[in-house]
Amino acid sequence: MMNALLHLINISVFYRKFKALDSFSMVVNREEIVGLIGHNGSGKTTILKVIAGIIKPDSGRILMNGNDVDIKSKEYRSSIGYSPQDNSFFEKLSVSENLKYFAHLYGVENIEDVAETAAKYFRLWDKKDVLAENLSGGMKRRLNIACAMLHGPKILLLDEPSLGLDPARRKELWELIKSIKSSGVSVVISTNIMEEAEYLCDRVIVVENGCMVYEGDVMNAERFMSYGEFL
Amino acid sequence: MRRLAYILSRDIIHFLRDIRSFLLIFVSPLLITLIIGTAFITTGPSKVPLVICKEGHSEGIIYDSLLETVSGSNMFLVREVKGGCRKLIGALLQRSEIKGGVLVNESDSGAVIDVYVDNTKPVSIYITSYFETISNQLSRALTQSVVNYMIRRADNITYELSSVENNIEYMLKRIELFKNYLEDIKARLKVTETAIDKLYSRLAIKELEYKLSVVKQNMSSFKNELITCRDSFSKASYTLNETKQIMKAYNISTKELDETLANISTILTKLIIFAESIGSVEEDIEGDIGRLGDEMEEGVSDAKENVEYIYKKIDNVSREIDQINDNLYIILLKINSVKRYIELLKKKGSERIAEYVTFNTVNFFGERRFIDFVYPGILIIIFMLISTFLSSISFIRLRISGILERLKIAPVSPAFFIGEKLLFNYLISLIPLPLVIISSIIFLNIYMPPAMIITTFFACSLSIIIFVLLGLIIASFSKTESTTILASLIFVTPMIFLSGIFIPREAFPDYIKPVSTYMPLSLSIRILERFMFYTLNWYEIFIDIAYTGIYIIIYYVILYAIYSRM
Repeated sequence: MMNALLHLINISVFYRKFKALDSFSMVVNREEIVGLIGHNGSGKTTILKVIAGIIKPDSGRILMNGNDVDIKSKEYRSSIGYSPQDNSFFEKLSVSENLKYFAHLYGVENIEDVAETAAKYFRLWDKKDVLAENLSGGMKRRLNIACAMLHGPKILLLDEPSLGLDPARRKELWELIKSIKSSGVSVVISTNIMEEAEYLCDRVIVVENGCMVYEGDVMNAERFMSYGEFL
Repeated sequence: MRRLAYILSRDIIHFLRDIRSFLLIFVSPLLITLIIGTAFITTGPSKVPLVICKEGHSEGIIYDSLLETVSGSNMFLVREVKGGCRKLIGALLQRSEIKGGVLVNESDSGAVIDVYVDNTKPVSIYITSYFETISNQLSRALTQSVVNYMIRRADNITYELSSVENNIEYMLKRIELFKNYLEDIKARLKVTETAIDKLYSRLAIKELEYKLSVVKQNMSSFKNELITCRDSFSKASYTLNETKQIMKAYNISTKELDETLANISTILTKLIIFAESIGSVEEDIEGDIGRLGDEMEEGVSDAKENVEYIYKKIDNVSREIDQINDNLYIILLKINSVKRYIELLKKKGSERIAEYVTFNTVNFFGERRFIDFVYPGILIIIFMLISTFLSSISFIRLRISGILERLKIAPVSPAFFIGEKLLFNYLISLIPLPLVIISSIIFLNIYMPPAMIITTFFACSLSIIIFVLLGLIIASFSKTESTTILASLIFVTPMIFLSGIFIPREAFPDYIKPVSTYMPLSLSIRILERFMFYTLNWYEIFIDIAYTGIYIIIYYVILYAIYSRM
C-alpha cells in the first residue's frame, strides 16, 4: 500500500444509458507498468481517460498518494501524461515544434533543453526539423509518447501505443517504455496484444464490460480473457 | 456499376450514421428555409423611416396630400417636419436615422418633388419605386384633394352665402318694415300738418284780433261808460254841492250830504283810476293782438317748413331704401347663382384638375455604384464566413486528431485555452484582410483612404472576434466536420439574408426587424458603414460596439462554461 501511487475506487462511467465502467477499482503503484487488457469496447480507454481527467466519472473516488484529487486541478494534471491511441500532434509542425508546443502548453521550464532531451531520448533528434506528417509510423508513435512526457509526469497513460507498428518498431517502442519506467514513471498501458503485455507489464488487469475480471500477472490473465480477440 | 453503388451507399451510410450530421442535413436546410422564409413572408418593405418636410410653416395641399398618401401606406414610418428641410434631411440621412426624405417647397406648388434617398441601402430602390408608383395615384389624390378642398370651401361659401341670404332677407323685411314706418311717419306728418293747419285755422288770429278788438271796444265802451258815469258823478257832485250850499243857507244839516259827497268823490277818483287802467289794458290788448299774430304766423310757418323738410328727407330715405332694396335683391339673385354654380362644380369630376406630380429621386450619397454600398456588407460577410468556418473546422480537427484531448488535460485554464484559440483564429482570419482591401481598391475601385483602412480593420476585427467565438461554440457541440459545417450554416446563412445588405431590413416582418438589426453580422456591418458612409457619430458607433461587446461577452461565457465542464 505504501507503494501505491494512484487509486481508482468504485469508478462508474455512463455514456447516456450505456455503463462504460461499473464500480471499477484499481491501483497503480510507483515505477510499475500496469496493463489494461480486454477486447475492444471493454472499457480500457475509458479507464485511461478517467485517470487522465478527460472523463469525469459519474461516481467513485480517485486518490493520489492516498488523497482524493480534483482531476481538473493543475497539480493532478501535471502529474499525468496521456498518449492517445491516435497520433495526437500537429502533422504540419516539425518534431521540434511539436515538442516545444506541448512543453509550452504544460508550462515546462527550459523548453529548449527539455525538447532537445526528449527528442534525443525518444530518438527523434535526427528528425527534429522534419514535419511530423513525414515521420515513419514508429517515429510518430514515439513523438506521440514524447509529447505526453515533456512535463515529467508521475504516471504515463498509453492507449494501445504499438497499434499499427511492425514487430521491429514495436520492440523498439517497448524498450523505450521500459526505459521510461526505469526513470521512475508509472505506466498504465492499454493493449490487446498479449505479447506486449507479457513483455512490458508487471501486472495486468483484465477488463470486461467495464468491470475488472482479473488482476495479477500476465501468465494467468489469458484464462480470463475472451477468445479470438488477442494476438 | 455495382462497385460504385456499393461504395456510394457505404459513404452515405457512413455519413448518416453520425446522428448529428444526419439530423442537421434535414434540420439545417429546414431551419434556414424557415428562418429566411419567415423573414420574407411580408409583401414588401414596411416602416421605412421617412421624413416629409415642407419649407415654411404654412399649410399646403400638395404637402397635405403627400402626407396623407404616404402615411396611409404601411411602407413608411413618416415623420412630418416643417422648415429647414434640406439641412435636416441631410443630417438625418448622414446619421442613417432615415432612409429617405421628401422635400416640398415653401410655395407648395410645382409638379416636381425632390425625394432624397439613402442610396447606400437597398431599400432606396423600393423608395424610388414607391414614389414612381404613387406619382399617378398622388396626382389623382392631389386632384381629389384639391377638389375636396374646393368643395369644402364651396360648402363653406354656400353656407356663408345662405347665412348672408338669410341676413339680407331679414334686412329686406326690416327695410319693408322701415318703409312702413316711414309711411306711417309721413301719414302722421300729414296729420300733424293738417292739425297745424287746423290749429292755425282754429286759432284764427283775425278772430282773436277781432275778439280782442271787441274786448277793446267793450273796454272802450266800458271806459266811456265809466267816463259818463264819472261825468254823471261829477254833475251829481256839483248838484249836491249846490244843494249843500242851499242847505247851508237853510242850515240844514249837510252831514250826510258831505258823507255822500265824500263817497262820490272817492268813487270818482276810483272811476278815474279804473278808466285809466282800462285804457292801459286796452293799449296792452292792442299790443298783444299785434304781437300774437306775428308770433303765431312765424311759428306755424317754421313748423310747416320743418314738416316740408322732413317730408323731403323721408322721400330721400325712401328712395335710398328702395335702391338698397333693389341692390339686395340683385345680391340675392347673385348669391343664388353662386350657389348653383358651386353645386354644379361639386358635381363635376376631378380629372385633370391638378397638375401631374412627378418625383425626382436624389441619391443623397451621390451617384455611387451598387458595389460601393454593399462593399462593407460583403467585406464583413466574407470575414464572418472565414472566421466562423475556420474556427469551427480547425477546432473539430483538433477533436478528430485527438489533440483536443491533450489540450483538455493540459494544466491550463479555460480562459487561457479560449483566449489562445480566439487569438489564433483571429490572426489567421485577419491575414487575408489587407489583400482583400488592396484588391478592392485596385480591381473594384473602392474608395478607401488610409483612415478608413484603419476603421475597416477595426470593424473587421470585431466581426472576426464574434464569429470566431461563435464558430468555437458550434464546434464544441459537433463531432464531425459535416456537423460543424451544417450547424454553422444554420447561423451564417440567415444572418447573410437578414443583414439588410441585399434585402432591405424594412421588408421583414416587425418581429424579425429587431433580430435583423441587432444580430452580430448587422452590428459589424453597421459599424463599418458608419465609418465609411455616414457622418461620424461616435455615440451611435459606441452603442453598436457596446452591443458587439455584449455578444462577445455572452459567447465567451458560453465557451467558458463549455470548457469548464470538459
